[in-house]
Amino acid sequence: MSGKASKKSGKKPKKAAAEDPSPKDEGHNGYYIEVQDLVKVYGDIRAVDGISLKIKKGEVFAFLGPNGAGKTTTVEMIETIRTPTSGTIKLMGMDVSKRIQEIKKVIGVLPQEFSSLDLLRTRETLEFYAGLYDRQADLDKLLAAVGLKDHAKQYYKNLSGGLKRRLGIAVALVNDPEVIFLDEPTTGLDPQGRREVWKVIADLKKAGKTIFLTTHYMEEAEVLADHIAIIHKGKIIAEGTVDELIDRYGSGLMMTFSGVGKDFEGTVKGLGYTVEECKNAHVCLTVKGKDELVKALAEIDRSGAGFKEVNVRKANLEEVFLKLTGETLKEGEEP
Amino acid sequence: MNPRRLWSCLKMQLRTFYREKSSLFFTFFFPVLLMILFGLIFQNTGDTRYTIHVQDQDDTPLSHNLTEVLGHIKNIDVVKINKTKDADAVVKSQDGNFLVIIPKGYQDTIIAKKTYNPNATVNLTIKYDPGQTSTSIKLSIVNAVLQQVNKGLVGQKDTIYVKTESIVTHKFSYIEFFIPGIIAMTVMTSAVFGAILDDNEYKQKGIIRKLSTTPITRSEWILSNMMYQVILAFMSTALILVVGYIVFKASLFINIWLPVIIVFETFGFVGLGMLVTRLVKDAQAAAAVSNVITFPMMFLSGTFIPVEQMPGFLQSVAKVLPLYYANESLRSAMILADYVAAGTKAVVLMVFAIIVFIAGVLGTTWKQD
Repeated sequence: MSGKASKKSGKKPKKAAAEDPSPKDEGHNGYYIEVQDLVKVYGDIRAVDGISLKIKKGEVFAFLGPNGAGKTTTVEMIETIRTPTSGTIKLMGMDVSKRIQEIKKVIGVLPQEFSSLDLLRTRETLEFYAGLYDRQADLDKLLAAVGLKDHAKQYYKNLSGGLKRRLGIAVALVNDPEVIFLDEPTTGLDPQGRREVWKVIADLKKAGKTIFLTTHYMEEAEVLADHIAIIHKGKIIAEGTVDELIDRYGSGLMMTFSGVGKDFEGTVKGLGYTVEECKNAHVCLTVKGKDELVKALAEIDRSGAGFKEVNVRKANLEEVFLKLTGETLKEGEEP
Repeated sequence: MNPRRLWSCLKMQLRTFYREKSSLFFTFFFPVLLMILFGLIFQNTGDTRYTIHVQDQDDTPLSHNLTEVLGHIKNIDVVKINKTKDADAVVKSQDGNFLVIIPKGYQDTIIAKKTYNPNATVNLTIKYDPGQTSTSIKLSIVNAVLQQVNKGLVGQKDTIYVKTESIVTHKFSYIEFFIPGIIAMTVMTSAVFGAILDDNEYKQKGIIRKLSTTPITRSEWILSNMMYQVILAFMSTALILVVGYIVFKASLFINIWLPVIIVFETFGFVGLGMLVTRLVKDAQAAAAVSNVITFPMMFLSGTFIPVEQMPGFLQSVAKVLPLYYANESLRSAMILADYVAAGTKAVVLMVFAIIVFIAGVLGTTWKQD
């Protein structure tokens, strides 16, 4: 468990919620999802290895990790469709192992790699799934909300990748759920499709929905999430807001020099800076904050080491992840 | 059970069904095409022939005459059996399943009846194997002949000669034999392959996983699939019957056994399909396995030709195949309106359906591992 997670639990004692003997719908204390010491073992493999999480009502939570890290296994245990080896899960205060039917009514799920039947029209897909619930959202409003109004009569097979995924999200919303699970909602989409889906998720966030998002795209978590947990080999290795994580694990500001002269690297090293590995014959170095940035630039300029351009950017989650695990979050990477 | 959830699934399945051209073809047009082709091929080659064995223990002119009368009936071949042969052995042998025994004293009794004793009776013994459709057909034919003979006796005619042409109670041709077979075959293939292909598609598209996160239960989902398959089976049966009537003037009895047998058959074969998908994970391999199961069954269960025309050991094989019981019960019900025979065989089919369907349901996963 990371330092941050225990700090969080310090604010809100875990004990009270986890050991409530008779959970009621209102017994969630503002936390819509509470996971305590969750373990899932397959043979010798601990796919999920002692995870604890608390997700507030109305929060967009991003569960971030490479493929095979245990994201989907975890999310499916919360969705009631997988049985944990040990640990407890509460959804809106309800024990997931006991109140399965009630929980299914209040959650909306976009499973990983979900699709509809090729010869079903957009609206018919929604009608089918809506027909499974007592409580149903207004399907026309839903179609408009995900931008599928003009595609309502199209066959599923004729929709673009981005539209298909938006329909998948709409399907997750047919029962006007309290908690929405989106498992890898943008995997396999082109940048355009990804942005379309992000907009839909951002709108849901505005509408105050609680969203549990799993992704292996750092950018997605940065854009959408209020709260992030990074999972690696079945364990949560870091948790917090995007800024918190970057502040804590990121390395400050990254300066990338391009069009540098021959002796540039040597000169900069001579000034006492640590030069990092960098692409395309650029020279990169990291500084802590704005003051150090100004100082470094001035010193390099004064030293006479020539460069054409310098690019400054904040560290991102990608670097945080790299730093924490020594691995990149590449798509298709299996443990 | 929530009727709205069932209806929602059923509507979705029917919608995609009628839009899928290949499923329309295999469920409706293919069986009809097969029926028309076979009907045309066998139209001119004459009707199915039946063999009746006769053991004449009387060996008199009148008993010879009765044997001859039977031999004159259309589609009936009479084989005479030596008096000394064991009757039971003949019935049990592979080519004899129906033996008429004319007892000693037959001629004497008839003469007595016609002269001094109007109350004299003579008992003909018929030994037959009740397990086959053809014996019921033969029985009804022989009964009709004897009725005519008796009528002749009551009418005090001086000879028991009968017009054989008017004797056959229910003339039935190959197409009438074939239609119940093609119904049973279509129901079987559409149930087995429907179960396998649909299951594969729903799994592949993540629909099963998605459904497992919604309030629908596994039993509701399986029940809606069953209802869907039963509806398809009824529709294809209706189409086969209508086309059979229009094209071939096929006259068959439609009674309560028809839907009952179809429901049993659908449950049995959908269950079989579910079992196959459970045991063979790969969809293509599952389809191949189903072919291996269903294709030989079509030929061995008397879909195209009567089982009794097959070699003896294959006849024994037929009797353990569920399609055989579907064929036989449908034929008993539709050709002969013999409800007892239809019911007896339908019970066998029902037992198969219950066992396989329960096994199939238990094998269907809903929760993930």
